[in-house]
Amino acid sequence: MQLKTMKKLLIPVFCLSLFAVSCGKTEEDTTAPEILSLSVETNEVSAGGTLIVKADNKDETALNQLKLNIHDRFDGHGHEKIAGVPWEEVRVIDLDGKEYFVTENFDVPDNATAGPHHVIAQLVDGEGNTSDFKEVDFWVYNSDMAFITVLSPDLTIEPYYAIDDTLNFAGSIADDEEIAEITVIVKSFTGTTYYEQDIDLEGQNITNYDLSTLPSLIFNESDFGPNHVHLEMEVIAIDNDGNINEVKGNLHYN
Amino acid sequence: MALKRLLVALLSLWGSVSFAQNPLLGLVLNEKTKEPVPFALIEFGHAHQRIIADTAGRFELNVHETEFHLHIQAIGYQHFHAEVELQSDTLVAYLIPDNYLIQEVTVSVERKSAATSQSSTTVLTDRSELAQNWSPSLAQTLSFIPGVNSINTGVGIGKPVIRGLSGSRIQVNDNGIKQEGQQWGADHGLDIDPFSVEEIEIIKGANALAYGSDATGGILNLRPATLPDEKFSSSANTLYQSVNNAFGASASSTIKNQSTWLTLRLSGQSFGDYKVPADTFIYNSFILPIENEQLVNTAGHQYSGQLTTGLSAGKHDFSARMSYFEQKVGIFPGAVGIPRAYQIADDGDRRNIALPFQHNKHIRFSGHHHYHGENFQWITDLGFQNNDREEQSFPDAHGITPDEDNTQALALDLSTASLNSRTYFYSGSNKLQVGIQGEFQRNEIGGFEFLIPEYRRTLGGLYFLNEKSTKRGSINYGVRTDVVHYNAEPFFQPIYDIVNDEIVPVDSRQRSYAAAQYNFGLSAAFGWMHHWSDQWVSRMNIARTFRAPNIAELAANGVHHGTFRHEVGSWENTPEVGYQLDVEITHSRRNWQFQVSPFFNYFTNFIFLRPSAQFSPLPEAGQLYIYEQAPAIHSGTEAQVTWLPNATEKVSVGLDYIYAFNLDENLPLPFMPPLSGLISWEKEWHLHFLGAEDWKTDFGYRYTAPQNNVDRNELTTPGYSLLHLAVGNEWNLNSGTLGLRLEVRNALNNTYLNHLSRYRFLNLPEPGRNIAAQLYWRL
Repeated sequence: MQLKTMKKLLIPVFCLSLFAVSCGKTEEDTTAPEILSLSVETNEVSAGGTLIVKADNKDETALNQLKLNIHDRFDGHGHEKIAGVPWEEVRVIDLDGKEYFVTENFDVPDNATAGPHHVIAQLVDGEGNTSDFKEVDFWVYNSDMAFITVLSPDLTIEPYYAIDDTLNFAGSIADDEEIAEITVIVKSFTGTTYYEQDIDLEGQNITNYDLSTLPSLIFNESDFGPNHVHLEMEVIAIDNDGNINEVKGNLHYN
Repeated sequence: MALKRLLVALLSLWGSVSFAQNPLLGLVLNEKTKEPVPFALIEFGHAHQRIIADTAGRFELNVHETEFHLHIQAIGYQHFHAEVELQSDTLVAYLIPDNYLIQEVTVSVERKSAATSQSSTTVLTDRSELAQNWSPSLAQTLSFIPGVNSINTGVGIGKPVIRGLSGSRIQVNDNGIKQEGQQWGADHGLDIDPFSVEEIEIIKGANALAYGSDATGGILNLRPATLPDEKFSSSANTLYQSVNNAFGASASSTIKNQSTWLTLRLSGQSFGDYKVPADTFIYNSFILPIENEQLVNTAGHQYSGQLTTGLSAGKHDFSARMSYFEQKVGIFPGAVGIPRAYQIADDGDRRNIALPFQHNKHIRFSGHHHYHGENFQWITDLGFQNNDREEQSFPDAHGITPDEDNTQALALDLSTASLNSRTYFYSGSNKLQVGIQGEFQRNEIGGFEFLIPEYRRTLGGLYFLNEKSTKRGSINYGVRTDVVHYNAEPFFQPIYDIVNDEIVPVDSRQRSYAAAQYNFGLSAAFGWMHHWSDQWVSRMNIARTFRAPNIAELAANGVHHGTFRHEVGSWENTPEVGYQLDVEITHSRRNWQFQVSPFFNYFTNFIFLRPSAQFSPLPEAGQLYIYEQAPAIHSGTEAQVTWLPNATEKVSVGLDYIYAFNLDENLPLPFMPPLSGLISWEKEWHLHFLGAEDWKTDFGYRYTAPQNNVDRNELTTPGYSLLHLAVGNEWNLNSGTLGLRLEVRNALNNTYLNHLSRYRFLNLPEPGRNIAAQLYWRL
């Protein structure tokens, strides 16, 4: 008798719970929109010039907004030293329809600090569903940044080096005010670093640096192994205003 | 083994649960607290017959002898042996708690939480269970209880979750005073030293009436321990964890004489970056490294101290307590802004705390008075607390600070004064409780970022609650009124730029407006507890609840870094009203017990962060998330089976499930814990090893199902399983007792994601295999 009363109490709660599970099925659109492509017209722009960003956007039901965020990616290199004005800009573009192609022109500020930047894009649809982020990198140049000339290795030809060859660096870095930091890296495409020089020149009033003063790179078999390695070389120069310039090229071993 | 006592006495109370025949009726009580010990295994007579006590510690013996041997065992208590000479048909056995760690010694008035009605779904956990599940944060420690979870930021910061509800929907009462520490924030942990907690009562479901209008989801009552009999007692605990190289220590001493006592506890812990069983994680289709399988800058340290003193004078008991907690915990740099490989590179120091980090300080003073009247008890708690939170990080957006070296992103300084006073009137089978509550709160802000404004909040509550004992249980009913008033200040965030080579403010953004809100609410509840038979007990609560919006729900306007959400409150939000039903059915048999606790809550206007179709105009921010209201259903159940196959073993299986969604869109409510089950096996081995007998082992296996019921833009989380093993014992020395416990958590070193972790968003795995050791001594 009494147990029956208790069952009467328990059954409705379970029914309510089951009701909860059964009516919690949604008809809502929860599918995220998608940025099919994001690109910049040229990935090298000058301070005072124009950056053109293109994005192809798609949603199943209705697009609502695209947010483009331009930001430096100085990767901590000289982040604290920045005396200039890193370019940062946010633009929200209203969209509609199921597919929308956006071309946006951004004026690069005259005083923008030189260096690597990126555009980060995200979409939101009419229901509030957001897309994944998409990113595209570009480089801002200006007239104040340090000028890099690499004569050896000859980066215009993708030179080949054999076992026990020696690479003697040559070239120069010049800045009208002061060079703050120089980094030279040779690494494989898979990320192994074979050579790295980080030269801190800040406060030494050096305006010209000769690359032939760098230690040579010897292609010994113990480091590089017997097989072919596709290498990338980077020369990065930061001036006292935080402007970053970079020269990159490919080398081959074996 | 220590002293054992047997009391054979007639219990006048026993009449309320008399049974048909005339067997021997027994009751198992905690020797210290005089509270019932559930599920004790009772072995008696020459035939070694076995039965098991029910949740209320009751058992029934069919004995034919007047003299027999009685043997009682319960997990967490010392074995009880006695030769019984029957003089009446009832007996009471007192078991001595057998704690792994030290009984801390604090206020010892009002042992039973009289404010908790017997119809609530309540779990009581003590020192030894807390020690078995020890984690650097108290919230994580409690996650072993079905229906309780923790929202974690790394390993050091945890906030408690009861049935998927957290923040201002649950209430944490530390020694009678509600803890106030900006609990609206998902990465704002509970600033309470896990060492200092002796016993916790967890009340699931609506119990707002006697505690405050916030407690609509549940309550954690951190309760004081009993005073020891000795004049002087001391204890010390140390622990080590391998996963983050954590060291912790805590020591306490109590001096006591006839009517006064004093207890001091000091604790500290320091931990390094924690290990995860992965060397990469994938964020937004980028594969990022986890160097040395260690999450950089997740180290931290915390210190705390409590001084408690008490005085008993006639019908008056007084106590005063002062406590301080300070914590500094690093935040994984990838969780602030989009993670980049260079930010999360190993900094070569496992124990340093670099930017970004949280630095929190909590100080509190409280006073307690208990008057023991003829037919009434009058209890008053007074408290003052200050919570000082700081988040330090590099300014991400340019122009928000005049000084690029300024790293103080957010400072929140919250002061709260509280008063709770209640009187219990006893008349026949009725216990009437009348109480008032008052709270005044002031928040000040600082830092170059903005999240919530400066504000003042005044709160007042008045309630009546009557509990009436019935022949086979009790019923209770009550009403409560609350007034809540907010007054917020406007805030203008300056924008700096370079003018003539000097950084000066050139503009400002208004981030909050002068606003006030006044709310008046009514809550009511009815509860019923009934013993249908000696095997079946039911508990039920029906309540109408009221919760005033918190400051974030009203006035937040800032970016939550890591999720990139720009979270916005609204002064249009009105108090959340809920109709809540909680049921608990317990079925106890000879040596096993089954318990199921379903709940069904309907909120007419549940407040939650809903994604809008708009982007934030702020830099470094993504979408606008707006605190909006919608009718919602929050339902689910916990279930637990406990089996005692013999006197030295305990097997239990626990399960919890939550289903919650808003009725506007039928979309699940965010941040709900997935279905989870825990199988555990505890055993005592009678073997002699290292000078000790009775080695205890635990084995635990938790399976957590995938969470696929997610809100819009919320990530689903795959399921996982975890294995846990432990062994421990105690040695009686000339001076005190020494104890050791060794355990392995996540023994299989599984890589898994926690749906409730702040780092889930980044796909960062949880800690890997963790070997922990606890060594303790008590005098």
